[in-house]
Amino acid sequence: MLTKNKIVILLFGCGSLLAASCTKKLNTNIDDPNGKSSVVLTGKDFFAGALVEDINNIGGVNLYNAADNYDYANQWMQYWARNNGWASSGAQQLVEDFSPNNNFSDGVWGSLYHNIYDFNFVIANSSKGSILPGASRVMRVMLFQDLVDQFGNIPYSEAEQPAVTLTPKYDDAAAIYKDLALQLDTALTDIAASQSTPDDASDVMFGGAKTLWEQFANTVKLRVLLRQVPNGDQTYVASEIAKIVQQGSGFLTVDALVQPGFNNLPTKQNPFYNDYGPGSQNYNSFCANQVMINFLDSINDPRVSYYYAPSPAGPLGGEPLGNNTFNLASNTSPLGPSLLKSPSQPGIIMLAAQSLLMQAEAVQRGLMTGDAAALYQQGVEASFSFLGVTNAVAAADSYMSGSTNGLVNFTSSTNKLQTILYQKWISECAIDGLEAYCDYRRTGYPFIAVPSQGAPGMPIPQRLLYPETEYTQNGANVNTQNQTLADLTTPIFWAKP
Amino acid sequence: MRKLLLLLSIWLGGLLVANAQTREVTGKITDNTGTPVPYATVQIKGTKVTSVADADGNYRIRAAAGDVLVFTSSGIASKEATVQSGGSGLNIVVTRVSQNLSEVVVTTALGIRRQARELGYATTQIKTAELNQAAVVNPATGLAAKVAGVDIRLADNGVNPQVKVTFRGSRSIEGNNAALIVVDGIPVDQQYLANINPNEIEDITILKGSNAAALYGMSASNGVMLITTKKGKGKFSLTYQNVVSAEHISYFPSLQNEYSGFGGEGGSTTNPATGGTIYFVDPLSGLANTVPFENESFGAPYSSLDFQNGQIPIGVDQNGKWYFTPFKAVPNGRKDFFVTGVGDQNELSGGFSTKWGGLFFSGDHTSKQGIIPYDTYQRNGGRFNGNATWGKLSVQIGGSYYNVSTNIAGNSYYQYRPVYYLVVDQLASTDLKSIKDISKFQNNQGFVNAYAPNPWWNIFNSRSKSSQDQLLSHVTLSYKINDWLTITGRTGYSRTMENAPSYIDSITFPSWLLGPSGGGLWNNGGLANFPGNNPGIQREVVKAHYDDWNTDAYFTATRTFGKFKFNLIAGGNYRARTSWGDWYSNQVYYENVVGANFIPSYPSKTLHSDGTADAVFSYKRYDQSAYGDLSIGYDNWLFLHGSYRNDWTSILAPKNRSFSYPSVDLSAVLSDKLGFLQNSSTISFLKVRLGYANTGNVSLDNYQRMGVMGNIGAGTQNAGTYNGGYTYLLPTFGAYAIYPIAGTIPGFPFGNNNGYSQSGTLVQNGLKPEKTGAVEVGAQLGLLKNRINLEVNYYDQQSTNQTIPLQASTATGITSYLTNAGKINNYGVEIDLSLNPVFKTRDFRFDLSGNFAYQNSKVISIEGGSVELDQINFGQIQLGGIYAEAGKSYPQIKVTDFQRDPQGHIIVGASSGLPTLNPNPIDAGSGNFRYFLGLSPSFGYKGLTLKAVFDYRGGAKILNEEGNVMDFTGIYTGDAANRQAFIVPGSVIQTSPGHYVPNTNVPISSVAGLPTSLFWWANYYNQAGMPYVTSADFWKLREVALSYAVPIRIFGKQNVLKQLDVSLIGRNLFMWRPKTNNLTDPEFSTNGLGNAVGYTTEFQTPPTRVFSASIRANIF
Repeated sequence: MLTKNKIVILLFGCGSLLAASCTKKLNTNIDDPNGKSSVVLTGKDFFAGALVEDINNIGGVNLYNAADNYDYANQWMQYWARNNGWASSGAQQLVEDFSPNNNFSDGVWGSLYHNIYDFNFVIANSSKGSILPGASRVMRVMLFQDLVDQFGNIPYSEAEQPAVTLTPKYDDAAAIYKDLALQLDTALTDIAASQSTPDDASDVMFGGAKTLWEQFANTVKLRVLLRQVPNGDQTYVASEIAKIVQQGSGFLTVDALVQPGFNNLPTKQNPFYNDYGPGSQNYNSFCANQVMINFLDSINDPRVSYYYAPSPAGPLGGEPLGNNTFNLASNTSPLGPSLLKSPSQPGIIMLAAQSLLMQAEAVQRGLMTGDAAALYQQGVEASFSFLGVTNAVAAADSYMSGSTNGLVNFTSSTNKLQTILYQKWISECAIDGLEAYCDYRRTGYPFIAVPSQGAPGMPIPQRLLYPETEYTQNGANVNTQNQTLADLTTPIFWAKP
Repeated sequence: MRKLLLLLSIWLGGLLVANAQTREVTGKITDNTGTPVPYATVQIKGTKVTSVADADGNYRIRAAAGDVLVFTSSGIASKEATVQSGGSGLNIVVTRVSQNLSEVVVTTALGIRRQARELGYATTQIKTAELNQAAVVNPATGLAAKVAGVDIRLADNGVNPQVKVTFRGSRSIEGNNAALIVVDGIPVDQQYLANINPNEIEDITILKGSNAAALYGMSASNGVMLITTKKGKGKFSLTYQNVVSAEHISYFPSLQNEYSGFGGEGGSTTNPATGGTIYFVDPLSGLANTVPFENESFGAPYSSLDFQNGQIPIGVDQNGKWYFTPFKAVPNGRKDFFVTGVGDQNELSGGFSTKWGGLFFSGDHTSKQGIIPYDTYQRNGGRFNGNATWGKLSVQIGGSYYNVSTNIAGNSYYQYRPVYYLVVDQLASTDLKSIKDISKFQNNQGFVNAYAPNPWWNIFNSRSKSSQDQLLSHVTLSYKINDWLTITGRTGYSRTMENAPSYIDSITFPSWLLGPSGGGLWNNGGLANFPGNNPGIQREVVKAHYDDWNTDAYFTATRTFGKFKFNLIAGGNYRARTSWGDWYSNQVYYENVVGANFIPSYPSKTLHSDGTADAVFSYKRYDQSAYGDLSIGYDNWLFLHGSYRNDWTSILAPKNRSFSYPSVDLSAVLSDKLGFLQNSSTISFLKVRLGYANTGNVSLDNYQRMGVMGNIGAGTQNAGTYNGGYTYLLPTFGAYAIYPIAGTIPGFPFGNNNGYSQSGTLVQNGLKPEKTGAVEVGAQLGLLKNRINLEVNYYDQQSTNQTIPLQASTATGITSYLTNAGKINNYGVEIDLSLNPVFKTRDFRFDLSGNFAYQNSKVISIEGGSVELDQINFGQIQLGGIYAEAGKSYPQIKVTDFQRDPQGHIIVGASSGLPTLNPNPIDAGSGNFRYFLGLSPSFGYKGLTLKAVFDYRGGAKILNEEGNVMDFTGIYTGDAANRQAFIVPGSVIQTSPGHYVPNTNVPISSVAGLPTSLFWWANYYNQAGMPYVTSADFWKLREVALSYAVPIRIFGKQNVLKQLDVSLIGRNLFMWRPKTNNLTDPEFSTNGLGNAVGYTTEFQTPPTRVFSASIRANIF
């Protein structure tokens, strides 16, 4: 029989052994073999991805979730439409009916806020002196502007702080806009103070070039300010534009393109090309908008055959938006060769054409000194160049000078603002539908004849409705906005009343 | 840990010092078959000197020669024996009698057997006969409606259905609420229930509350189901059982048979037979007539026109010859797709025992066909249990191996829909049986529907297979250090391996099917929705592997001091779990062509340049614990019991990984003590008890979904998108959960550039375990010599520090915040009543037992730290969500609804006559049943027995999303009404804010060219969830079994056949539901084993009933 002592020793011995061997095992939690946690990553691991995330917001198109990006704006701005290769349903039907509902907005809202969340991570977790935090601040302003431009009042001051509140309150859109300008000032200070660091490698847009980031920040600021013209506080806008000029780096003169190394491997393609290129369902299901083709033809604009490819039957052809008796797919044009250059084409954040035409508008409105005609000309030339029109600059010049149409020829135009905005609309075709949609709501250009089709006979909406997820997850705050279906026609604060 | 063990050692040491007795009589108590009788009480007649035998019937008592020993125990006739002067051994053979309530012995935690009268908490034991009376395949289904407080919920009706077992409702909002399953002392995954042959089970003990289960540590707050498998007993004997069964659809939705196909698309096409033109739109009125390839049934009545001389072209054969189907409704054309599922169970078991030990073995072969043609299920395996005793050492060793394989129809090539969805989603003119032979068609599918492909294509060309091997083995060693102290070590190992390959064949369409761009037949629609490019065969293989090592070592000490009896258990546990999985797909197709919905977003995914992809997963978790459990009995009528346990787990951060919890309870057998009860002729037994227990639970247990092509739980994760199925759930045990993995933006990494994106989940720094405190009060009453037995329990559990992924406004940048928040209160009453017998004559006997339970889980609050929420949506569904909301029962179904005036009338537009949706989801009731009633009458006449089980559940609501789909397509009988413009019944029109007048003259308006019915059903009515919520209450006749014990004497004089039983059995014979709920079985849950109960979809096949016949023979 065991004695008392032996039992105690046995117990104690077993216990010690067990305790020693287990403490080590108990510490296995952090070594996750299935992936990396943010705990072990830094800003440079996120920045390039966050830029591409933004490309997805702007350009990516998904057949099943038309609201996950700005696809709807491209359709409302008459850039493209659906052909009969695809029976309309769900989100696409809502786009055509001009009646996006609460569910419609879930995707775009969530992905923009998540994109900002990633840029915030870069701001908080980058190496000292890196340009990435400053650059991320610029990107963050762009994304918040996109949110306000689509929804009006949004969570801002309490947003993006999940450990503080899960239910952020809504802030006034005009006040957010004011803060965006201040945020860009901070961004410019940060960029100016930055040095070249190894982090620059993950800047797949400007390769860490400080001047380019400063110019881009100024251009984004111009966009924020111009949005408030002519319907906002004009004194404020003028003084802020003066500050940009004073800063001295000027505006973007090159295209802001993201190129992490897209290539033609199926998983590594440019996301827009991947979603829209030959072989995708979208390629066969969406087509040129007939309104846009007719318009470009009417002003003899050669870009029509760069934006759209020949239909399978030969000639260019399109569909009006929301048409219930479809043209055959064989007679409609898919997106063209300049939009779908190759799987390795870079992603577009902003074109130089947009920067130049915004400057032209600012000068034309007397908000800045300069030569509006020259800026206009350079803007159109930049658009031709981006599209790769043969002898782009010469072709653009002869297009403008050879036209008697006031929407093309700036000199002979009697409404120069209209000319600038129509050309801006053309230059953003299937590239930046949201910017065109904003200009349309702000200035009324271009005049778009609303198709007679569409179920409830709605006009083009002035905004998107708050997403369903806000009603389920942030009900008390979203309900302070008292939004109803009728608010689809309520303008954003900067829009034309 | 060391400190605690030291303390325990000292504690034990203290007990050892107590003085021992000197002169002893020892022996073994067995019954007349040689089986030991455990825990018998031995008393010296005329004195108060008593002793209790051990689990193996060995007893010791100090006595003098000439003393008379009295042996009493549960289920034996008491026996007396006189101590002789020479020798100390005195073996006793007793006779078994039917059990008396005061002497029942039950299995408790760690497999330790105790007299039920000592226990301060509720336990229920189900014996093999009762469990298997309806010849179930999955043992859990045999428990349904038999025990109060035990909720057995069948998630679906597939060949290998998921069964959710919960005791006493829900305590955890998002964590696991399922009872812990323990087989022969080894904890196993709930899925193991499907891999066990119910005939191998000796008994199941239900420990409903956490007092009973505190010794099992984490998850014990959900109660424990202790399964004890059979052991060899007595002389060698063999049992053979065969069950054949037939399963049919019992309830099918009622479909309309009047209206033909139309969904808005129109146009014309060439009639392949005549060369003439078929107009889908009436050229005169411009209104739609019929489009025979639609899935929406908003066309002209079949009776109203003669479509192409009554012929619909449905396909071409290899030689270009056309097939037609008549243009008329085929009333059962869809239901008759389903077949009778034939099942066959064969089981052989045997065993014996001798004085040194025993052996039991069994083998099982079960095969089953599903109601979906060619769906099959097979289970093959066996078990052995051996036990032996050499002096002070006893050994138990057991093992089982099972292979369960299923081969079921997969999803369609387009939109990944399951078979049932495609069966229902057809027009009334479709006769599915007639297009079964798909090989005769040129496109190998027999084209009847542009949106819902022929389900036969799935049957023949899309398969999901799975083969699961499960091994469970355990060894228990016990050493009796002395007559009152035993040390026991037990280790169990289980391994599960699954191999699940699926494929969806390539499909090539002839050009005529591909719509007009291919020069095809159908002007619109056609296969317009199908990507023109042939995706090629899609293959996926999921391999998974799951290991669980569980080791316990503990001391048990039993001592009696005068009137006091002490039982002490002290020990430790170590558990190591690992899982590993590999997913392979031959197609990156999902990623690029079909749409982002189908991308499995596995961070560890590797995409290969040849277009294939694979991902590996690996999880590890370690837990250890130390525990002590002491019960003190006074005079065998008053019992005080307490336990204490400390757990350490690897899945929490170091500072929070150690936590402890106590339990305490008190019970008194008043009928043995109170004079007026002792003498009562009415009350034979009365016991009352009271307990409190606290348990900790780390609610991070989760499963990694692996694969996208499987059909398991399809539709649960992404309602609203087409896919959502998964192939396998790999247990993660909550490992690594506190550091969520960052996502990757598609395409990254590029060179050295990473493209991470933060996880949508943020985890609170310093996450703690959940705590459940439970109070339980109970009483047990035996009346009229225990002919009437009544047991009543009341419990009240409060869980705090819930671990909840709170859904955040996406404006926070994240979608969920995993934090300690929320309080849930769970309370209920359980009543078990049995009348044995109600009525009895020499040949006839009528017994009745019944149980009733009320249970309610109420969310007290959802708050914690900075979080101020009053509700969370933890089960996003298409028309709303499953919520936990402060002040409401859990879980709460909340759905969208139309805007209504304060009186509940639907508000319609003043000119459109159409309602608008309210974006705020509305309360629709709780998805958990609150009232449970089970009734089990039993009639016996000579050798004939008839047993039945009735089951009522009430107090719950259910959202049938299938109704929504059926309204969208207009196939439901209700959709046959309202084919013309009408005034929404009971609607009102707003005249000024807050003022409404009844709508008497504004009918619903539609868009030009669309029939009103289509516009209403498909675009308006089905946008709201409320119309699809109904009561989930039901009555079921779950089991009916008619058995006959064949009199052996008819076989003459022989010594081989000992027993022969034949039975006829019916399961789920009838279901009674409210009229409004006519779609499917309200017990089903699309969420499978998850907490988000309260909705079903067309992803569950219809309810079935099963008829079986069984024969059971016992030889030698």
